[in-house]
Amino acid sequence: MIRKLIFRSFSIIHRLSQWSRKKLTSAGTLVFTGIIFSAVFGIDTRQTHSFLIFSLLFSLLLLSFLFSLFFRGRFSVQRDLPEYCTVGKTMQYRVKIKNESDITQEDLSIVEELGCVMPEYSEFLRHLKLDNKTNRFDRYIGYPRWLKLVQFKRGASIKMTPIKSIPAKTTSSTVIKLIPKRRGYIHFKRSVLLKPDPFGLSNAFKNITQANTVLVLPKRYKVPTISLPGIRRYQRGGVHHAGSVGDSQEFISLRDYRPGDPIKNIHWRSFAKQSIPVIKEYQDEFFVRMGMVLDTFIENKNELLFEEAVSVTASLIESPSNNDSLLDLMFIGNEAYKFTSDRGVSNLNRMLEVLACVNVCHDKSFENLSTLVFRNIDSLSALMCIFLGWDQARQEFVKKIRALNIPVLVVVLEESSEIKHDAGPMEDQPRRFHVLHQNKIEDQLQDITF
Amino acid sequence: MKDYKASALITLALLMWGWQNNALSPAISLALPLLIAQWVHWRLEISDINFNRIADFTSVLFFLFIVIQFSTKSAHGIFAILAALPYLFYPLILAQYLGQVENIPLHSLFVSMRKKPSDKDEIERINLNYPYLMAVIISASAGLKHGSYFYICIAALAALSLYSIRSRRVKIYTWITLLALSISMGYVIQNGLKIAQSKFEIMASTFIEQMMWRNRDPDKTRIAFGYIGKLKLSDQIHVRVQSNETLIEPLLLREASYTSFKFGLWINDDSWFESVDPTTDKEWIFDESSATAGNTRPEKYTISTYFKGDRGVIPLPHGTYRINNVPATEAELNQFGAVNLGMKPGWVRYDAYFDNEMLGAAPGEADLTIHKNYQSILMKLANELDLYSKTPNEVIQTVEQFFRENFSYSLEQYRSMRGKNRLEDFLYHRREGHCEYFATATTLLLRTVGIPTRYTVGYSIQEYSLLEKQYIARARDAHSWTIAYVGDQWIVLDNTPAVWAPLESADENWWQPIADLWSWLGYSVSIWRDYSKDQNNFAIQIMLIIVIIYFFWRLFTDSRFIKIRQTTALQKSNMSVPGSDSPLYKLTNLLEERGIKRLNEETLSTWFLRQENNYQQRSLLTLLDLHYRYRFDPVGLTTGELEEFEDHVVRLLDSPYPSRQ
Repeated sequence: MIRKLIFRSFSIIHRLSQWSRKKLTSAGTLVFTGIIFSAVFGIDTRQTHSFLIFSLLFSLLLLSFLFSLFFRGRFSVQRDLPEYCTVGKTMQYRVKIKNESDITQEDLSIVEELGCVMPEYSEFLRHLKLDNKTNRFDRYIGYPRWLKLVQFKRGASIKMTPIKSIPAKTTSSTVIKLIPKRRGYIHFKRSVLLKPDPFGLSNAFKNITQANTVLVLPKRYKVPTISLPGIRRYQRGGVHHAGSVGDSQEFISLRDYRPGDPIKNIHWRSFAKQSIPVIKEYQDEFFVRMGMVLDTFIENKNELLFEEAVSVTASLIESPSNNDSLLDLMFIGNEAYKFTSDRGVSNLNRMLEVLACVNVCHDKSFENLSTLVFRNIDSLSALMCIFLGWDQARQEFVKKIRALNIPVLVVVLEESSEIKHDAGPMEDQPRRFHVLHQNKIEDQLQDITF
Repeated sequence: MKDYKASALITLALLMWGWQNNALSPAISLALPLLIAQWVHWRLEISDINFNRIADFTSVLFFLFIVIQFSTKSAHGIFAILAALPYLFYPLILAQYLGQVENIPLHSLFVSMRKKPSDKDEIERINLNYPYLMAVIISASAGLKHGSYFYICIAALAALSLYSIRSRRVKIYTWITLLALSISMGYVIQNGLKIAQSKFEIMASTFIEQMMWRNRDPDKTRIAFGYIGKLKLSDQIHVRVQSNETLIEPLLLREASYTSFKFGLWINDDSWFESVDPTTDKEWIFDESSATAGNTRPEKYTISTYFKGDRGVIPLPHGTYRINNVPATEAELNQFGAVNLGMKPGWVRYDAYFDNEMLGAAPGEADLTIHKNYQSILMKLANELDLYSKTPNEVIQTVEQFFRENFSYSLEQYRSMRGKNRLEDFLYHRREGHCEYFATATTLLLRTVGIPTRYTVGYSIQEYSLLEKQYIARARDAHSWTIAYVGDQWIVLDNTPAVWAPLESADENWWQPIADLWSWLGYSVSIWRDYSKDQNNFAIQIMLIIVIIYFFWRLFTDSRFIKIRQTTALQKSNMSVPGSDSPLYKLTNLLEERGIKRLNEETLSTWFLRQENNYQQRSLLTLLDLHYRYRFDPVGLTTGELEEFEDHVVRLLDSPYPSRQ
């Protein structure tokens, strides 16, 4: 009960803190701190002269606060955002600020505010259990971790950026940098223009609502070239894929027309000569089709481990070896998903977009993923599985796939390097069974072979 | 890197602090290194880990200083801490000035932030210039000198500090006007604060007076008659007693005795204190006859108690005739046996010598007086107990038996009063209460049958501290009892049921051992400071200085501290660059010496193309190819090519071209 009350107070404290950060400059914050300390030491005016400091600082801040209540001017803001950015990589974008008023605006700064849905109590509790790198106070009260969670959900933090002087009716631009902290969409809510008071202690501010989004792709690691095993398989109706992967649309011979043949396959020249329809016959399409299975069932594990699993999947999708094959990405989110891509940068980006938005699945079981894979198993040449554990269900799944003579690469992610796993059904092929440990993933990925 | 303005402001603030606190020389000593650091061209390469160490050292220093100040000066210690802020934070600001970066990591100041693994680029850093400036200004306020001048000084410092961060949109005269307005407003506010405090003090003084339990008034004491709820005093240690022998029964230490009781208040109507002259150094004798009786093995306790103000009554065993080893300025004794000492605030320790002869004047009329409100009820009870027909000793035994058999001890009172007054309610209805009820009832009941009595307050010493190896008394051990004049001497009567002490200690807090340890540390430091010999103090000071010097020596000789010259850092670098021994450099050096200077923006090839001699120009360009391969190609040159390169350079050096320039 008390804990819930404390939790509810977090968002109030946070809003207050955000407001004070906008309202007070760093000098203003120092003056405010000075007011508090001088008030404590100067509580008895006969013991120290701290009350004189209090009086002076208080009147300075009061006057500056009164000045910060006024901000004349009209502005509009436009952001030139890139289509994508990547977790942990600096993103730069340009913001154009138009001064629509008749006076030159000087000494301004801009703060970009990102939208964030405040965490639910259950989400906060789950996060509380997972993070153990905090002190006792933090563990009990939880505000620093709540803040960390909010910052993570927000996706990035943007520092205040000064703007050059903007003459009347003109536009000025500034470059803003941010480092995305998570994948998915970052929502730009509004821009806040700040104007300091004459003393430079507090800011007047103007909110300009301008909503935009940018998609943050998952972090990718360097992976070695993986030569894909497995036989090529007939791809039903796969001619439209053949332009990009596998055999090209190869002409074999001419044959007589049979009812049902598509008109586009009629060889018109022969038809003209012989007066009977003749059909061009092409080779059936066979090529390698790789299945990529992403485990979204974290159970009691750290959500950061799932993030790593997404990064590993993205890295493997991006690896050069996949350019000559079709790729099916399969995972369970709100429902069962299967996305197919072929050769080409645009397809790769589409796949990364999908991965940018994949979420942990809390309400379904691993069986759903197993069903999804077996529904599509006929067309697959090989399977790469990115697992968040190596329990009985997952081992059974791999065993069944292997029984169909489909090569399988198993990558299991674990939180601690102390956790070891027996290869189980992969015992006879240890080169295709890899356990990656959080914080060592990049190094361990270099050893991956198929 | 260099912030002349900040260092100048800090210097001015330090000088103001020195002027206010009579510490001008230390202020100059603190300011000089900061000023000099702005002019010298070397810096220490202080790593973040070393910043952590310096911050930790500062914290330890700060903590120790707080402990010493609070233990020796109590709440007044806060002003000493305030005055010492520039010293206490100095290691940090000095490290920032001597370090090669202009700020320190935020996690150095907050240990909790050190656990978080973070990217080096994401480490938040803080510049301590202005926080230190603020600390020095606030610290200067501890001096309490020249209030008006001090206000002018801080206003000037504020103006200088704010000048550079003022908004460029505002014209300078507008800014000055606003500043003047703020300063004037501040002046009005500070006058208002002074008036407000005076008014508040008048309103609150009565209330505060009633709340001050520790300051025992030898002339009156209010008892908690009629207090509704649970009476609970704190576990704070008030008295410590060293005894050579184990106490068999509780030791009662008296602070004061009172004669008249009315309306819940025990008072001494006619009390006077007589000054006692010290006999020798730190010794006061209150009863010459006992002192000269020739006790070969006098009984004594070494008692420590805490003084809040500069004067107060001290707890003493009944019969104390002499106190020794007490650094008091004066001592007074009243006719009821209370001893008042003039002392500086803090813990005071003294040896109390005593015998059975109890201090205090012979009984007077006041020792037999009972207020009319209580007379009838007490006479009724005396009749019921048949006290009038008994000898004084029998009366005492009967009263003792009466309370023992019919009453119980309780700290709680939740029922409302029944009967005419609280005493009647206690004696006839409730029959439970705390020591003040028992002592008051006993005192007044004995007076009813003509036995002179006095109500006495003090401490009951029962608890032995294994940590301190001495007896202790907490606030909750404060006790009251009766002294009665029987057979020409005063005797002690304590009719409070013996269970009172365990009941009082039943609600002890779980953190009490920690609080006791803290209290003992403070007591030990205080006693060490005031009672240890000067030589010991000197030795400890020397040891402290050695520890500090050793700490800084370790810091500055640490391998991570490397002196670097900012301007010549690259030249001094011993890092070996591949190909830095290229033979071509001999030629380029020679060309430079001959006055064919390479321009800043020129590449080697364009420089060589400026040569006038075509043959030399071609040779140089050929050599440049070899030089680039030697310098940047991972494969480098073969031995043969290198030899050829060197030969070619030698031939060119010997050729007349360079020497001709």
